[in-house]
Amino acid sequence: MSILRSIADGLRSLFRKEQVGHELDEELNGFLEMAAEEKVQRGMSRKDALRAVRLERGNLAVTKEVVRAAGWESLIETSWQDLRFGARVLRKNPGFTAVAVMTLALGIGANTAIFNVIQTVVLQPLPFADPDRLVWLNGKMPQTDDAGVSPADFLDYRDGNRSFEQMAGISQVVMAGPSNLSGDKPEQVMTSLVSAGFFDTLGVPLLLGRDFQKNDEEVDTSQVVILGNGIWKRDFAGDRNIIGHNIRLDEQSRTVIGVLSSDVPLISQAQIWLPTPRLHFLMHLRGGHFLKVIGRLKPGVTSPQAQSDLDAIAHQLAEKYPDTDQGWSLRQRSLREVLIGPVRPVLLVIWAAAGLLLLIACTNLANLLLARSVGREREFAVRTALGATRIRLTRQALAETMILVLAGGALGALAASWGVSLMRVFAPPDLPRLQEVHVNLQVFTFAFGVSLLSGVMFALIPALQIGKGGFSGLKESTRNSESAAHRRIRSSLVVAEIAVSLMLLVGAGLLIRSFWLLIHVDPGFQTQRVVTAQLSLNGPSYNDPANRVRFWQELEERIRNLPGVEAVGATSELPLTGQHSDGPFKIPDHRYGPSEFDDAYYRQVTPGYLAAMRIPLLAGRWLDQRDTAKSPGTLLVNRAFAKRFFLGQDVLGKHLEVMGDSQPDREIVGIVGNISHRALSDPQEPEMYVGYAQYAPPTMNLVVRAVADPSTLAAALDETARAIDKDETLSAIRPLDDIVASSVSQPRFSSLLLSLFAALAVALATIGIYGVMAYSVSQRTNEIGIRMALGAKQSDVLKMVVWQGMKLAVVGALVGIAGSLLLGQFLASMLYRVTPRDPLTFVLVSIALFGVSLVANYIPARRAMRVDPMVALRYE
Amino acid sequence: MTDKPSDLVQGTLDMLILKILALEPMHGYGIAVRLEQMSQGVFRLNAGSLFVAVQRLQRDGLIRGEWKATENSRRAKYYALTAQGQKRLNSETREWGRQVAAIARILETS
Repeated sequence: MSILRSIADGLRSLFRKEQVGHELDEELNGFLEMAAEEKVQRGMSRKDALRAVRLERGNLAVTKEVVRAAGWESLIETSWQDLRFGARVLRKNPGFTAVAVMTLALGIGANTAIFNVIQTVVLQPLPFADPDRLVWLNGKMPQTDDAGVSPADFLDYRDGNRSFEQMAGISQVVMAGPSNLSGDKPEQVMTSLVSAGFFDTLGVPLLLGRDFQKNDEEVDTSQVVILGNGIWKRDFAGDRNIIGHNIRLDEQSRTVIGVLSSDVPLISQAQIWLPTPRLHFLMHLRGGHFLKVIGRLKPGVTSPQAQSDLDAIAHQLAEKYPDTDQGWSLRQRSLREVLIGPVRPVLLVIWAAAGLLLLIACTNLANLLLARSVGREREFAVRTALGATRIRLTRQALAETMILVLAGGALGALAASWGVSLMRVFAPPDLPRLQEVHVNLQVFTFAFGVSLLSGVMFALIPALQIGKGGFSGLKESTRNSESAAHRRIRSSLVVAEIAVSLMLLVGAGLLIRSFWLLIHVDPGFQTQRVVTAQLSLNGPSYNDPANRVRFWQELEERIRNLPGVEAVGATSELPLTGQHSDGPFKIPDHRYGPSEFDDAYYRQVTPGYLAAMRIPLLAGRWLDQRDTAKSPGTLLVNRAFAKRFFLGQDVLGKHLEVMGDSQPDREIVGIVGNISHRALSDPQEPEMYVGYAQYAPPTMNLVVRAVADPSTLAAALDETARAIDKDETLSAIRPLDDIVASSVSQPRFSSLLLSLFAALAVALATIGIYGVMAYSVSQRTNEIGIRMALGAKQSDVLKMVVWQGMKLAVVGALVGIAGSLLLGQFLASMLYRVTPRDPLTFVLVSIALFGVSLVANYIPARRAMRVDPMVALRYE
Repeated sequence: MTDKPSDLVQGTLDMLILKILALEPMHGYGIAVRLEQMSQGVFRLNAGSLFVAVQRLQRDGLIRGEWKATENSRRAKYYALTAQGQKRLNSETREWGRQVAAIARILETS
């Protein structure tokens, strides 16, 4: 009851302040009058009586304040007053306020944006049911631990293990042949083959229909499909009655049995899913390691338990099928690690950089506030004299800071949402889940928390300084000098700022240098004015390889005759796109143990490809019209191949036995230049090139070198393809320059962001140094005046002030260098041909930072130099 | 500018005000005068301490105020004890007696 009454009473005083105040006035007045009356009756004059009462019972105005302050509502009221007053003070100093809010917004915005991305990409669980039990299973052998699993082995692992609830396989994404789903235009559809129960294993529910079952697999050609959610909405207008209908895919009619509730871009870009056709001969191979396998561990089964289970099966298989399975086993990693692991270090480094930036922003603000609090000592002294308590003054200062923090936080949240959109543009395409990123409550909470934390961090120091002086501020002259302790705090703040900026600069410098080296790697082919496109010939009419060869001959012939085309060719795997294929082979004279062989990149090219890419012929001859399906097998190898397998021998004329090839015996007829195939940062690997006429895979990449801008050719190329076969269409049309650029988009992204943060950090640090020095000069005007009156030259003053500031810069730089040497190792994995202790970067960065601090010191120093001794002395 | 009389044992002011109001409803000044009289001039309250205590008691529901005319036909707010206030006074008086007796016993032991 009494609490309720207290609340009601308090609310009454808050909202009906005037009436309540009036009542209190009347009551107190009555008190005064009655007391005075009594004294008058005893013979005092009325004036004396009133004075006596005031002396005895206290000043009425003060009493009123005291009574008011006793209620809880006064806390709210005074806080409100504090906020209003703080806002007024800040409005009166727009320069300070703007700098403070912007500084904070930058720090908070950068952190919130990065946190937003990290939260979605790294912290959020994968969008699958119970994702912690999902593991990724790789084929592992002495040469590689990143191979696939052969379909036959997969079945043995799936049926033989005791550790997994379920296990399912998925093939690479393939472009389906002519498909006309929407009915108006042939389109290229991406498909994946998956084994029965794949979506159940992953924990991705179906929106309609059912998952693949084992009897769907008992075919030679897949008869049923599951539609991805995206293509279902786009091409089938989200038709809920689609189950049981037939669609034409790859020139074949297939029945829709299900629709996914969402696509699974993390696992595969496929738009339509087909069951693995178990009766197809490819599915019986033990040597073809082309399935990726995902397993769902039984609850409670640990990874080592599962591993020993898998190893036992691998052992059995090796005994049973020594030719194909000896040396092979499965390597298991958590699905999360496989999907997110590669980008995590990059994001964490960027986050750390954003954190350092925030640290600088807070330091800067602490500095600004500290300088201001010294300037306001008089104001606080006056207010103390008028009866403000120290708590009240501190509260007042905190209120001002809170306004700054909240404004900075709000602006920062805004900046963060821009930052996220900006990151979407610049982020590497292999950064998973970026499209899922959106600003949510958690992120706002984070932004708010960061703001609050920074508020406390930078408000505490100045707040603790307040009121220490007490009334002394009034007694002293108008110009009070900064205390030594104060100066020490501010100096160490500047040192910290410089140190952190230097660390950020070093990080950015290292990444930029590494990026520069990376993009100046000679890839071994010329990228300018080249456009590429993909084309799959999958329809039944192209089951005969001869038809595929004819199509491509015709296509290249026609394209070569287009105006503006300089050269044309095609390859099964384009460099730097992630397309990849290995060819196992044996050199006839060598001795190999069981299931031993050599291995090199293996691609099929049309005769014009190497010339169109400007990959040079070093010896021998090109592939050409002489190399047909009926002529003896030939191939080209690159220099790295010759060096690795035939060091010091004449390579031309040597024969290879290429395993699994239709023409296993092939003669090396030429040597060509090396190229960077997987990544610009990887060493150039041995490669083999086989003529398309002798080995014609269905999917090829067209490469056209134009005379001028290649993008104008895109439409003409597509038309040319469709003129030959109206069902064929080009997809993924991209300039080669783009492909190269996006292959380095991750280092570009990280160096760009880190440079941005470093630049901001240096800007903030410069403001910090400038602020401290300018303030110190204005504090020392008097001292400088005396020095000059005693004969100090202008240049002496300049030197003194600049040196004072540069001392801080030097100490800060030393601390920063030490910190960079310590933290540099975290960058090591992101660097290409640069060590984290690269002396050039350290030297350049230090010089740049000294240059900037010199300027920041010079401006206030010049002002000090111009001090007129007379004016300075008279100023007192 | 102290808001509590240093010469009053902390917490006793509320009890004394309750005691005074238990005798008869009284306005602010009356409470101050009565306290002074009854303590024979030992407790002299300033207005701040008095009204803070009065406001607190009122919010706790121990007393309630009502505007009335005084004998000199002036308007004043008269405070009266509520039932709850009476209960509190009784218990505090008892507690106070116990404590004083205990303190006295301690001081008397030599």
